[in-house]
Amino acid sequence: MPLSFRILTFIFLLFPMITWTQTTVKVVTKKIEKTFNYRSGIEVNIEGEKAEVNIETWDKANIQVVLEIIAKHPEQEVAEKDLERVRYLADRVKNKIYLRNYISNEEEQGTPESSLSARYTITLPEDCPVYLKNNFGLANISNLSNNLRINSQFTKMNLTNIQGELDIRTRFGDLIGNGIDGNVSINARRSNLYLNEIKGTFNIQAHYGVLEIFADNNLLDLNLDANKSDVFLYSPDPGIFSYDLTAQSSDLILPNSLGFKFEDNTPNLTKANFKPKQEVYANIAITIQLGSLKVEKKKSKNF
Amino acid sequence: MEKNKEILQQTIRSLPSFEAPPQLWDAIEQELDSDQKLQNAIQTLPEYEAPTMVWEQIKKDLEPKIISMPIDNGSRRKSNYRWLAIAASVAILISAGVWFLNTGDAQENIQIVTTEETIYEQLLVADWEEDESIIQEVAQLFVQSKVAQSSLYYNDLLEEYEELETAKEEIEGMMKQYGKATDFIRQISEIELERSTLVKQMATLI
Repeated sequence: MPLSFRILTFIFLLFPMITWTQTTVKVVTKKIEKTFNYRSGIEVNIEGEKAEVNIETWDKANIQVVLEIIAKHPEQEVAEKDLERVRYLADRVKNKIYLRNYISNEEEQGTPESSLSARYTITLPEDCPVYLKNNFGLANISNLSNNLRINSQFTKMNLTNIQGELDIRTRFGDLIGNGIDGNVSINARRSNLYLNEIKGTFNIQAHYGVLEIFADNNLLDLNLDANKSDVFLYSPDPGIFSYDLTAQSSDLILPNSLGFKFEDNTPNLTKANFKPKQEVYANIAITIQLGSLKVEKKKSKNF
Repeated sequence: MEKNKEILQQTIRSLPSFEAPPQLWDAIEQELDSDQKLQNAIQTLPEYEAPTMVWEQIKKDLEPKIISMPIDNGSRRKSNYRWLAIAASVAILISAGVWFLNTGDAQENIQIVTTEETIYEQLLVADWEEDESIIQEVAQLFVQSKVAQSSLYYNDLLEEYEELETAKEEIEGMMKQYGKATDFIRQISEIELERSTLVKQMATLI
Protein backbone atom coordinates (compact mmCIF):
# COMPACT_ATOMS: atom_id res chain seq x y z
CA MET A 1 0.00 0.00 0.00
CA PRO A 2 1.53 3.39 -0.98
CA LEU A 3 2.50 5.70 1.89
CA SER A 4 0.27 8.55 0.69
CA PHE A 5 -2.75 6.23 0.64
CA ARG A 6 -1.99 5.09 4.20
CA ILE A 7 -1.72 8.71 5.39
CA LEU A 8 -5.02 9.58 3.74
CA THR A 9 -6.68 6.53 5.32
CA PHE A 10 -5.31 7.55 8.73
CA ILE A 11 -6.63 11.12 8.36
CA PHE A 12 -9.98 9.78 7.17
CA LEU A 13 -10.25 7.53 10.24
CA LEU A 14 -9.16 10.33 12.59
CA PHE A 15 -11.53 12.91 11.15
CA PRO A 16 -14.73 11.80 12.97
CA MET A 17 -12.82 11.90 16.29
CA ILE A 18 -11.80 15.52 15.94
CA THR A 19 -15.05 16.85 14.48
CA TRP A 20 -16.89 19.13 16.91
CA THR A 21 -20.58 19.72 16.60
CA GLN A 22 -21.16 23.38 15.87
CA THR A 23 -24.49 24.99 16.51
CA THR A 24 -25.55 28.43 15.40
CA VAL A 25 -27.45 30.29 18.08
CA LYS A 26 -29.46 33.47 17.96
CA VAL A 27 -28.10 36.12 20.28
CA VAL A 28 -30.90 38.42 21.39
CA THR A 29 -29.61 41.52 23.17
CA LYS A 30 -31.67 44.10 25.02
CA LYS A 31 -29.54 47.23 25.18
CA ILE A 32 -30.44 49.84 27.79
CA GLU A 33 -28.67 53.18 27.69
CA LYS A 34 -28.99 55.82 30.35
CA THR A 35 -26.95 58.88 31.31
CA PHE A 36 -26.91 60.37 34.79
CA ASN A 37 -25.64 63.80 35.81
CA TYR A 38 -22.64 63.59 38.13
CA ARG A 39 -21.74 65.79 41.05
CA SER A 40 -19.39 65.21 43.97
CA GLY A 41 -20.87 62.82 46.56
CA ILE A 42 -22.62 60.53 44.11
CA GLU A 43 -21.69 56.84 44.23
CA VAL A 44 -22.31 54.21 41.61
CA ASN A 45 -23.55 51.01 43.19
CA ILE A 46 -23.56 47.95 40.94
CA GLU A 47 -24.86 44.48 41.71
CA GLY A 48 -24.27 42.17 38.82
CA GLU A 49 -25.11 38.51 38.40
CA LYS A 50 -23.51 36.53 35.58
CA ALA A 51 -22.36 39.92 34.38
CA GLU A 52 -19.35 41.37 32.63
CA VAL A 53 -18.77 44.79 34.17
CA ASN A 54 -16.55 47.28 32.34
CA ILE A 55 -15.80 50.56 34.06
CA GLU A 56 -13.88 53.31 32.30
CA THR A 57 -13.39 57.01 32.97
CA TRP A 58 -13.76 60.23 31.02
CA ASP A 59 -13.56 64.02 31.58
CA LYS A 60 -17.31 64.69 31.35
CA ALA A 61 -19.48 65.31 34.43
CA ASN A 62 -21.79 62.47 33.39
CA ILE A 63 -22.18 58.82 34.19
CA GLN A 64 -23.10 56.85 31.12
CA VAL A 65 -24.49 53.37 31.58
CA VAL A 66 -24.96 50.83 28.82
CA LEU A 67 -26.51 47.63 30.10
CA GLU A 68 -26.88 44.73 27.70
CA ILE A 69 -28.99 41.75 28.69
CA ILE A 70 -28.22 38.79 26.48
CA ALA A 71 -30.04 35.53 25.72
CA LYS A 72 -28.58 32.82 23.44
CA HIS A 73 -30.59 29.96 21.97
CA PRO A 74 -30.86 28.26 18.57
CA GLU A 75 -34.48 29.49 18.31
CA GLN A 76 -35.00 33.25 18.38
CA GLU A 77 -38.46 33.00 20.00
CA VAL A 78 -37.09 30.98 22.92
CA ALA A 79 -34.24 33.45 23.40
CA GLU A 80 -36.67 36.40 23.33
CA LYS A 81 -38.95 34.72 25.89
CA ASP A 82 -36.08 33.82 28.23
CA LEU A 83 -34.66 37.33 27.95
CA GLU A 84 -37.68 38.60 29.89
CA ARG A 85 -36.61 36.58 32.94
CA VAL A 86 -33.70 38.94 33.52
CA ARG A 87 -34.86 42.05 35.33
CA TYR A 88 -32.81 45.18 35.71
CA LEU A 89 -32.67 48.41 37.64
CA ALA A 90 -30.85 51.56 36.54
CA ASP A 91 -32.01 54.38 38.77
CA ARG A 92 -30.84 57.15 41.04
CA VAL A 93 -31.99 57.10 44.64
CA LYS A 94 -30.70 60.18 46.47
CA ASN A 95 -26.90 60.18 46.06
CA LYS A 96 -26.61 56.65 44.75
CA ILE A 97 -27.01 55.32 41.28
CA TYR A 98 -28.18 51.74 41.55
CA LEU A 99 -27.51 49.34 38.72
CA ARG A 100 -28.79 45.80 39.08
CA ASN A 101 -29.56 42.72 37.05
CA TYR A 102 -31.26 39.71 38.54
CA ILE A 103 -33.61 36.86 37.76
CA SER A 104 -37.14 37.45 38.90
CA ASN A 105 -38.44 34.79 41.23
CA GLU A 106 -42.01 36.06 41.25
CA GLU A 107 -43.15 32.68 40.08
CA GLU A 108 -41.40 29.34 39.69
CA GLN A 109 -39.99 29.57 36.21
CA GLY A 110 -37.77 26.51 36.04
CA THR A 111 -34.44 26.46 34.24
CA PRO A 112 -34.25 28.65 31.14
CA GLU A 113 -33.50 26.98 27.82
CA SER A 114 -31.30 29.87 26.77
CA SER A 115 -27.96 30.95 28.16
CA LEU A 116 -28.50 34.30 29.89
CA SER A 117 -25.99 36.97 30.85
CA ALA A 118 -25.51 40.71 31.26
CA ARG A 119 -22.87 43.22 30.24
CA TYR A 120 -22.39 46.65 31.79
CA THR A 121 -20.28 49.36 30.17
CA ILE A 122 -20.07 52.29 32.56
CA THR A 123 -18.18 55.49 31.80
CA LEU A 124 -17.80 57.95 34.66
CA PRO A 125 -15.56 60.70 36.10
CA GLU A 126 -12.41 59.28 37.69
CA ASP A 127 -13.26 60.62 41.17
CA CYS A 128 -16.66 58.92 41.28
CA PRO A 129 -16.77 56.33 44.09
CA VAL A 130 -17.79 52.85 42.95
CA TYR A 131 -19.18 49.86 44.81
CA LEU A 132 -19.31 46.67 42.81
CA LYS A 133 -20.83 43.40 43.87
CA ASN A 134 -20.53 40.78 41.19
CA ASN A 135 -21.25 37.08 41.26
CA PHE A 136 -20.23 34.71 38.47
CA GLY A 137 -18.84 37.27 36.08
CA LEU A 138 -15.98 39.42 34.98
CA ALA A 139 -14.91 42.94 35.92
CA ASN A 140 -12.58 45.25 34.01
CA ILE A 141 -11.97 48.51 35.85
CA SER A 142 -9.47 51.22 34.96
CA ASN A 143 -8.31 54.74 35.90
CA LEU A 144 -10.40 55.35 39.03
CA SER A 145 -8.83 57.70 41.56
CA ASN A 146 -11.06 57.93 44.63
CA ASN A 147 -12.80 55.00 46.26
CA LEU A 148 -13.46 51.53 44.97
CA ARG A 149 -15.10 48.72 46.91
CA ILE A 150 -15.54 45.28 45.40
CA ASN A 151 -17.28 42.25 46.79
CA SER A 152 -17.12 39.43 44.30
CA GLN A 153 -17.59 35.71 44.03
CA PHE A 154 -16.59 33.48 41.13
CA THR A 155 -15.47 36.58 39.27
CA LYS A 156 -12.24 37.44 37.49
CA MET A 157 -11.18 41.05 38.03
CA ASN A 158 -8.78 43.16 36.00
CA LEU A 159 -7.86 46.42 37.70
CA THR A 160 -5.61 48.88 35.89
CA ASN A 161 -4.24 52.20 37.14
CA ILE A 162 -6.42 52.50 40.24
CA GLN A 163 -5.68 55.02 43.00
CA GLY A 164 -7.21 55.95 46.35
CA GLU A 165 -9.07 53.80 48.85
CA LEU A 166 -9.57 50.21 47.73
CA ASP A 167 -11.41 47.49 49.60
CA ILE A 168 -11.61 44.20 47.74
CA ARG A 169 -13.19 40.97 48.89
CA THR A 170 -13.01 38.02 46.57
CA ARG A 171 -14.06 34.41 46.89
CA PHE A 172 -13.34 31.86 44.16
CA GLY A 173 -12.10 34.55 41.79
CA ASP A 174 -8.86 35.93 40.43
CA LEU A 175 -7.59 39.45 40.77
CA ILE A 176 -5.15 40.91 38.26
CA GLY A 177 -3.95 44.39 39.19
CA ASN A 178 -1.58 46.62 37.26
CA GLY A 179 -0.51 49.96 38.75
CA ILE A 180 -2.58 49.96 41.94
CA ASP A 181 -1.62 52.85 44.22
CA GLY A 182 -3.35 53.78 47.43
CA ASN A 183 -4.63 52.51 50.72
CA VAL A 184 -5.54 48.98 49.73
CA SER A 185 -7.25 46.21 51.64
CA ILE A 186 -7.72 42.80 50.03
CA ASN A 187 -9.41 39.78 51.51
CA ALA A 188 -9.09 36.81 49.18
CA ARG A 189 -10.38 33.29 49.68
CA ARG A 190 -9.64 30.61 47.12
CA SER A 191 -8.57 33.38 44.77
CA ASN A 192 -5.29 34.02 43.00
CA LEU A 193 -3.79 37.50 43.09
CA TYR A 194 -1.43 38.89 40.47
CA LEU A 195 -0.38 42.40 41.45
CA ASN A 196 2.08 44.38 39.38
CA GLU A 197 3.82 47.63 40.40
CA ILE A 198 2.01 48.08 43.68
CA LYS A 199 2.46 51.44 45.43
CA GLY A 200 1.03 52.79 48.67
CA THR A 201 -0.15 50.73 51.63
CA PHE A 202 -1.39 47.20 51.22
CA ASN A 203 -3.12 44.94 53.74
CA ILE A 204 -3.78 41.52 52.28
CA GLN A 205 -5.37 38.45 53.77
CA ALA A 206 -5.32 35.37 51.60
CA HIS A 207 -6.57 31.85 52.09
CA TYR A 208 -5.94 29.09 49.55
CA GLY A 209 -4.42 31.02 46.68
CA VAL A 210 -1.37 31.81 44.61
CA LEU A 211 -0.10 35.36 45.07
CA GLU A 212 2.39 36.96 42.70
CA ILE A 213 3.29 40.45 43.82
CA PHE A 214 5.68 42.85 42.08
CA ALA A 215 6.54 45.66 44.50
CA ASP A 216 7.29 49.11 43.12
CA ASN A 217 9.99 51.28 44.73
CA ASN A 218 7.17 53.58 45.89
CA LEU A 219 5.57 50.89 48.05
CA LEU A 220 4.94 52.28 51.54
CA ASP A 221 3.80 49.24 53.50
CA LEU A 222 2.79 45.68 52.80
CA ASN A 223 1.14 43.55 55.45
CA LEU A 224 0.30 40.10 54.19
CA ASP A 225 -1.29 37.26 56.09
CA ALA A 226 -1.43 34.15 53.93
CA ASN A 227 -2.82 30.78 54.86
CA LYS A 228 -2.36 27.65 52.75
CA SER A 229 -1.10 29.86 49.95
CA ASP A 230 1.97 30.21 47.76
CA VAL A 231 3.40 33.72 47.78
CA PHE A 232 5.94 35.12 45.31
CA LEU A 233 7.23 38.59 46.13
CA TYR A 234 9.31 40.24 43.43
CA SER A 235 11.09 43.58 43.23
CA PRO A 236 13.76 45.02 40.93
CA ASP A 237 15.59 46.09 44.10
CA PRO A 238 14.55 43.92 47.10
CA GLY A 239 17.25 45.47 49.31
CA ILE A 240 15.40 48.80 49.71
CA PHE A 241 12.64 47.28 51.90
CA SER A 242 12.55 46.19 55.51
CA TYR A 243 11.28 42.62 55.97
CA ASP A 244 9.62 40.94 58.91
CA LEU A 245 8.77 37.40 57.85
CA THR A 246 7.15 34.57 59.78
CA ALA A 247 6.64 31.17 58.22
CA GLN A 248 4.77 28.42 60.02
CA SER A 249 5.10 24.94 58.49
CA SER A 250 5.97 26.69 55.25
CA ASP A 251 8.83 26.87 52.77
CA LEU A 252 10.80 30.10 52.80
CA ILE A 253 13.11 30.98 49.92
CA LEU A 254 15.02 34.26 50.36
CA PRO A 255 17.77 35.97 48.33
CA ASN A 256 21.16 35.15 49.88
CA SER A 257 22.53 38.55 48.88
CA LEU A 258 20.41 40.39 51.47
CA GLY A 259 21.75 38.52 54.51
CA PHE A 260 18.50 37.94 56.40
CA LYS A 261 18.74 37.45 60.17
CA PHE A 262 16.94 34.38 61.51
CA GLU A 263 15.43 34.56 65.00
CA ASP A 264 13.85 31.12 64.89
CA ASN A 265 14.63 28.49 62.35
CA THR A 266 12.90 25.20 63.09
CA PRO A 267 10.94 22.96 60.69
CA ASN A 268 7.66 24.37 62.05
CA LEU A 269 8.58 28.01 62.56
CA THR A 270 10.97 30.34 60.78
CA LYS A 271 11.30 34.02 61.59
CA ALA A 272 13.52 36.12 59.39
CA ASN A 273 14.08 39.84 59.18
CA PHE A 274 16.11 42.38 57.28
CA LYS A 275 16.64 46.12 57.63
CA PRO A 276 18.08 48.20 54.77
CA LYS A 277 20.93 50.67 55.26
CA GLN A 278 18.98 53.81 54.31
CA GLU A 279 17.03 55.75 56.95
CA VAL A 280 13.64 55.74 55.27
CA TYR A 281 12.22 52.50 53.96
CA ALA A 282 9.00 50.63 53.40
CA ASN A 283 7.99 47.77 55.70
CA ILE A 284 7.03 44.37 54.40
CA ALA A 285 5.50 42.09 57.02
CA ILE A 286 4.45 38.65 55.87
CA THR A 287 3.04 35.79 57.90
CA ILE A 288 2.53 32.53 56.09
CA GLN A 289 1.01 29.30 57.32
CA LEU A 290 1.09 25.94 55.56
CA GLY A 291 2.30 27.41 52.30
CA SER A 292 5.40 28.90 50.75
CA LEU A 293 7.06 32.28 50.36
CA LYS A 294 9.69 33.25 47.85
CA VAL A 295 11.34 36.67 47.76
CA GLU A 296 13.25 37.31 44.55
CA LYS A 297 14.89 40.10 42.57
CA LYS A 298 12.90 40.42 39.38
CA LYS A 299 11.66 43.14 37.06
CA SER A 300 7.96 43.82 36.91
CA LYS A 301 5.77 42.45 34.20
CA ASN A 302 2.29 43.21 33.02
CA PHE A 303 -0.18 40.43 33.67
CA MET B 1 -43.88 87.20 94.06
CA GLU B 2 -41.42 85.09 96.01
CA LYS B 3 -41.75 85.90 99.70
CA ASN B 4 -38.16 85.00 100.64
CA LYS B 5 -36.52 86.27 97.44
CA GLU B 6 -33.70 88.06 99.25
CA ILE B 7 -32.86 84.99 101.38
CA LEU B 8 -32.96 82.73 98.33
CA GLN B 9 -30.62 84.97 96.30
CA GLN B 10 -28.23 85.19 99.26
CA THR B 11 -28.20 81.41 99.60
CA ILE B 12 -27.50 81.00 95.87
CA ARG B 13 -24.63 83.47 96.08
CA SER B 14 -23.15 81.58 99.02
CA LEU B 15 -23.21 78.24 97.22
CA PRO B 16 -19.70 76.87 96.50
CA SER B 17 -18.54 76.99 92.86
CA PHE B 18 -16.58 74.23 91.19
CA GLU B 19 -14.38 74.24 88.13
CA ALA B 20 -14.72 71.32 85.76
CA PRO B 21 -11.60 69.09 85.78
CA PRO B 22 -9.57 69.26 82.50
CA GLN B 23 -10.20 65.55 81.71
CA LEU B 24 -13.92 66.35 81.47
CA TRP B 25 -13.22 68.52 78.41
CA ASP B 26 -11.25 65.62 76.89
CA ALA B 27 -14.23 63.35 77.45
CA ILE B 28 -16.54 65.89 75.79
CA GLU B 29 -14.12 66.19 72.87
CA GLN B 30 -14.08 62.40 72.50
CA GLU B 31 -17.87 62.41 72.49
CA LEU B 32 -17.82 65.02 69.74
CA ASP B 33 -15.45 62.77 67.77
CA SER B 34 -17.89 59.90 68.04
CA ASP B 35 -19.00 60.52 64.44
CA GLN B 36 -15.63 59.15 63.34
CA LYS B 37 -16.11 56.16 65.66
CA LEU B 38 -19.53 55.60 64.15
CA GLN B 39 -18.08 55.78 60.63
CA ASN B 40 -15.38 53.26 61.61
CA ALA B 41 -17.99 50.96 63.14
CA ILE B 42 -20.11 51.23 59.98
CA GLN B 43 -17.13 50.06 57.92
CA THR B 44 -16.94 46.85 59.97
CA LEU B 45 -20.64 46.04 59.76
CA PRO B 46 -21.51 42.92 57.77
CA GLU B 47 -23.27 43.39 54.44
CA TYR B 48 -26.45 41.53 53.61
CA GLU B 49 -27.91 41.00 50.21
CA ALA B 50 -31.42 42.33 49.76
CA PRO B 51 -33.86 39.69 48.48
CA THR B 52 -34.91 39.98 44.84
CA MET B 53 -38.45 41.01 45.80
CA VAL B 54 -37.10 44.16 47.48
CA TRP B 55 -35.51 45.37 44.23
CA GLU B 56 -38.65 44.50 42.31
CA GLN B 57 -40.70 46.56 44.75
CA ILE B 58 -38.27 49.51 44.46
CA LYS B 59 -38.48 49.29 40.68
CA LYS B 60 -42.28 49.19 40.82
CA ASP B 61 -42.29 52.24 43.09
CA LEU B 62 -39.99 54.12 40.74
CA GLU B 63 -42.05 53.35 37.66
CA PRO B 64 -44.65 55.99 36.75
CA LYS B 65 -48.10 54.91 37.88
CA ILE B 66 -50.87 54.79 35.28
CA ILE B 67 -54.28 55.58 36.74
CA SER B 68 -57.20 54.25 34.72
CA MET B 69 -60.39 56.30 34.72
CA PRO B 70 -63.93 55.12 33.90
CA ILE B 71 -65.39 56.27 30.55
CA ASP B 72 -68.65 58.21 30.78
CA ASN B 73 -70.62 59.86 27.99
CA GLY B 74 -72.30 62.53 30.16
CA SER B 75 -71.51 66.07 28.99
CA ARG B 76 -70.98 67.40 32.54
CA ARG B 77 -68.49 64.64 33.28
CA LYS B 78 -66.85 65.27 29.90
CA SER B 79 -66.30 68.85 30.93
CA ASN B 80 -64.93 67.76 34.32
CA TYR B 81 -62.57 65.34 32.62
CA ARG B 82 -61.40 68.07 30.25
CA TRP B 83 -60.40 70.24 33.20
CA LEU B 84 -58.94 67.23 34.92
CA ALA B 85 -56.94 66.39 31.81
CA ILE B 86 -55.65 69.97 31.53
CA ALA B 87 -54.76 70.03 35.24
CA ALA B 88 -53.07 66.63 34.95
CA SER B 89 -51.09 67.76 31.89
CA VAL B 90 -49.92 70.90 33.69
CA ALA B 91 -49.01 68.84 36.76
CA ILE B 92 -47.07 66.33 34.63
CA LEU B 93 -45.22 69.14 32.84
CA ILE B 94 -44.33 70.84 36.13
CA SER B 95 -43.27 67.52 37.71
CA ALA B 96 -41.19 66.60 34.67
CA GLY B 97 -39.58 70.07 34.71
CA VAL B 98 -38.79 69.88 38.43
CA TRP B 99 -37.49 66.32 38.05
CA PHE B 100 -35.32 67.32 35.08
CA LEU B 101 -33.93 70.36 36.88
CA ASN B 102 -33.21 68.28 39.99
CA THR B 103 -31.38 65.34 38.44
CA GLY B 104 -30.78 66.25 34.81
CA ASP B 105 -30.73 62.50 34.16
CA ALA B 106 -31.68 61.43 30.67
CA GLN B 107 -34.44 58.96 29.94
CA GLU B 108 -33.66 55.31 29.26
CA ASN B 109 -33.11 54.32 25.69
CA ILE B 110 -33.90 50.67 24.98
CA GLN B 111 -33.07 48.70 21.84
CA ILE B 112 -33.34 45.00 21.03
CA VAL B 113 -31.02 43.48 18.44
CA THR B 114 -30.48 39.92 17.22
CA THR B 115 -27.22 38.48 15.94
CA GLU B 116 -25.81 34.98 15.41
CA GLU B 117 -23.01 33.07 17.08
CA THR B 118 -21.49 29.60 16.80
CA ILE B 119 -21.17 27.40 19.88
CA TYR B 120 -19.68 23.94 20.46
CA GLU B 121 -22.20 21.70 22.15
CA GLN B 122 -19.54 19.33 23.49
CA LEU B 123 -18.35 22.07 25.81
CA LEU B 124 -21.73 22.21 27.51
CA VAL B 125 -21.94 18.54 28.53
CA ALA B 126 -22.58 18.20 32.26
CA ASP B 127 -20.64 15.01 32.99
CA TRP B 128 -19.32 15.77 36.47
CA GLU B 129 -22.07 13.80 38.22
CA GLU B 130 -20.70 10.50 36.84
CA ASP B 131 -18.22 10.13 39.72
CA GLU B 132 -20.36 11.77 42.39
CA SER B 133 -21.42 8.52 44.09
CA ILE B 134 -17.82 7.34 44.67
CA ILE B 135 -16.81 10.79 45.95
CA GLN B 136 -19.73 10.79 48.39
CA GLU B 137 -18.82 7.28 49.48
CA VAL B 138 -15.20 8.23 50.26
CA ALA B 139 -16.34 11.32 52.15
CA GLN B 140 -18.78 9.22 54.18
CA LEU B 141 -16.07 6.67 55.05
CA PHE B 142 -13.70 9.51 55.99
CA VAL B 143 -16.28 11.03 58.38
CA GLN B 144 -16.88 7.67 60.09
CA SER B 145 -13.26 6.46 60.16
CA LYS B 146 -11.68 6.43 63.63
CA VAL B 147 -8.23 6.60 62.01
CA ALA B 148 -9.20 9.68 60.03
CA GLN B 149 -10.77 11.29 63.10
CA SER B 150 -7.46 10.98 64.96
CA SER B 151 -5.61 12.77 62.16
CA LEU B 152 -4.43 16.35 62.65
CA TYR B 153 -5.88 17.23 59.27
CA TYR B 154 -9.35 15.74 59.87
CA ASN B 155 -11.19 19.01 60.58
CA ASP B 156 -9.33 20.98 57.91
CA LEU B 157 -10.05 18.42 55.21
CA LEU B 158 -13.69 18.14 56.22
CA GLU B 159 -14.09 21.91 56.24
CA GLU B 160 -12.46 22.16 52.81
CA TYR B 161 -14.70 19.39 51.44
CA GLU B 162 -17.81 21.17 52.69
CA GLU B 163 -16.62 24.51 51.26
CA LEU B 164 -16.11 22.94 47.84
CA GLU B 165 -19.49 21.19 48.04
CA THR B 166 -21.16 24.52 48.84
CA ALA B 167 -19.32 26.26 45.98
CA LYS B 168 -20.41 23.55 43.55
CA GLU B 169 -24.02 23.86 44.70
CA GLU B 170 -23.84 27.64 44.26
CA ILE B 171 -22.62 27.28 40.67
CA GLU B 172 -25.29 24.67 39.90
CA GLY B 173 -27.94 26.94 41.44
CA MET B 174 -26.79 29.83 39.27
CA MET B 175 -26.81 27.59 36.19
CA LYS B 176 -30.47 26.75 36.92
CA GLN B 177 -31.27 30.47 36.85
CA TYR B 178 -29.09 31.64 33.94
CA GLY B 179 -28.90 28.46 31.82
CA LYS B 180 -25.90 26.43 30.71
CA ALA B 181 -22.78 28.36 29.79
CA THR B 182 -19.12 27.46 29.34
CA ASP B 183 -18.19 29.84 32.20
CA PHE B 184 -20.19 27.74 34.65
CA ILE B 185 -18.80 24.46 33.27
CA ARG B 186 -15.24 25.79 33.61
CA GLN B 187 -15.87 26.90 37.20
CA ILE B 188 -17.33 23.50 38.08
CA SER B 189 -14.31 21.83 36.43
CA GLU B 190 -11.97 23.82 38.68
CA ILE B 191 -13.97 22.85 41.77
CA GLU B 192 -14.03 19.20 40.66
CA LEU B 193 -10.26 19.30 40.17
CA GLU B 194 -9.79 20.50 43.75
CA ARG B 195 -12.35 17.99 45.03
CA SER B 196 -10.49 15.15 43.30
CA THR B 197 -7.22 16.08 45.02
CA LEU B 198 -9.02 16.42 48.32
CA VAL B 199 -10.88 13.10 48.07
CA LYS B 200 -7.58 11.35 47.29
CA GLN B 201 -6.12 12.88 50.45
CA MET B 202 -9.16 11.76 52.45
CA ALA B 203 -8.91 8.23 51.05
CA THR B 204 -5.32 7.87 52.32
CA LEU B 205 -6.45 8.68 55.85
CA ILE B 206 -9.40 6.25 56.06
